[in-house]
Formats: sequence, C-alpha cells, structure tokens
Amino acid sequence: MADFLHEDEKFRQMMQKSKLTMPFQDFEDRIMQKIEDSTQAKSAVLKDIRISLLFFILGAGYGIAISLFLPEILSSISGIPTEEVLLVFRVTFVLLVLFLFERLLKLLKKYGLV
Amino acid sequence: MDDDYYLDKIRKGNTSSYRYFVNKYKDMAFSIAVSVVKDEFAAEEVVQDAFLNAFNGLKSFNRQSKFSTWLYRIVTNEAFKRLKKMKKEQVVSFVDNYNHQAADKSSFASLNEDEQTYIINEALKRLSPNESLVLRLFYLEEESIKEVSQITGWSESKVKVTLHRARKNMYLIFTETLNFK
Repeated sequence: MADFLHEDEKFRQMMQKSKLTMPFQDFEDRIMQKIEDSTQAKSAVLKDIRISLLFFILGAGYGIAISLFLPEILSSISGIPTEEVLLVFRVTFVLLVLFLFERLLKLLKKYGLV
Repeated sequence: MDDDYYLDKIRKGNTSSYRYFVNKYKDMAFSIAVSVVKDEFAAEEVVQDAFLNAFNGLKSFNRQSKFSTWLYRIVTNEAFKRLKKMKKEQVVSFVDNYNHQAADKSSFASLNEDEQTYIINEALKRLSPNESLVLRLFYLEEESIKEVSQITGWSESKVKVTLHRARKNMYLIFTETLNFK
C-alpha cells in the first residue's frame, strides 16, 4: 500500500509536466473582441426587437379597431356585404397575429428576455 | 473568492472583466481540449468556442460548483463534439498482465526537463481521449473523483476505472518509448 501511494505521488509529480500553455499569444484579445462584437450585435438586435414589439401592438390594435368599427362606417365594400369581408379579414387577422406572436416569442427567448 | 468578485462585475454589465477568467483558465482549458482532440489548432478553436459559450451562459451558472468545474465541463463537451466531427481516435491496447513494478524508471529520470515534458505529452496524445482527459483532470488539475465525474458527466466508477486503465497504459507507452527493461 505504501509502495502504491509512493508510486501515485511520483506519477502525480510527473503529470505536472503535462500542463500545456496556450500557444497563441493573441488568444485573449481575440476572445474579448468577439465578446465585444457579440454584445454590440445583441444590443442592436434588442433595439430592433423593441421596435418590432411596438409595431406588433400598433398593428394588432389597428386590426381590432377595423374589425369593430368598419361595419358602422360601411355597409358594403365593392358590392360585397361588410360582414362577409370582415369574416375573411378577422380569420386572416387572427392567424397573422398568432403567427407573428409566436415568432416574437421565439426571438425574445433567444435573447433571454423571456 | 476572486471568481465570485469578477462574476458579479460581469453580471452588472462589465463585460471586460471576463478577461480575468480567460487569462486564468485558458491554459488548463487548452490542456483539456488537447487531451481530447489531439491537435493544437483544433484545441484552440474548441477553447475559443467554450469561452464564448460560457460567457453567453453565465446567467445559468448558479455557483453550486466551482466556476472551473463548470467551465471545464463546457470545454469537455465542446471537445468531444469536435472529436465526433474529426472522427479521430488514437488508442493504445490495454495489456492486462503488465507489471509496472518491473519497469526501470531510471531511463526517464535521466532525461532533462524538456525531454520529460515532451515524452509525457506525446504519451498522452497516444492515449484515448477519455484516458488522457481523466489523467490531466485528476493529476494535473488535481480535481477529485467527484469533480472529474461532474466535468465529464461520467459515473464515479467509470472515472475510477478509466483512471486505473490510463495509468497502466501510460506506463506501457513509457516502456515502449524508452525501452524499459
């Protein structure tokens, strides 16, 4: 047992020689530059996400307003009854809102905002 | 602890403080990567990706382990991912009846420091990725079996078995290289 421990200690001392040093002198600078670049890119993307959210809310609000108030303003559109036009509009509107909401959510998750 | 101090600084938005971690851990991270991928250029790319992933994942580091354990886990995962792409493996056959007591180690001891370092690192290159990795983590970085298990994702028994086999294979390589009696 004593022999084994002695051998193990010698093996440990030997293994201290196996440490390698990073041979690329500019490694640190390159890493920090990449981090700086990705931080700036993320900041720019976050700004775009905020604008996207704003337009999403405005667009959804506008769509809801049209859906609610159009029948009161027009009784028909190009000869087609407003209710029928609104039905198509509402279905398209809901599908679009759900689709865009899902995409926005994915984007927010990707950048750690949700 | 210095690591905690700089982690707090980074979380407050001081990204340049990350240089502290890069400077402190790059050499050991490189050693780990070389253990697995056996190539310095590939290892450099592995370490680069690992540091970037670690920076992006700092929010998920909950300080339940040492920062080094967490980082080396990322480096190890990146290295094995790269190895899969490279499909390279250098394995030394395990000799079951090898008796290291019969080896004469005076030949190794008579070499100078640089020669010893060269032979050790060349021997580690010839070991399988798992074996050279576990030797460096256990003996060089002096991680415990439990910490090696956390870094590699292996069970503790697998770590012990691999360590035992790795030591035997190292002696085998030394014997072949230096013509021990």
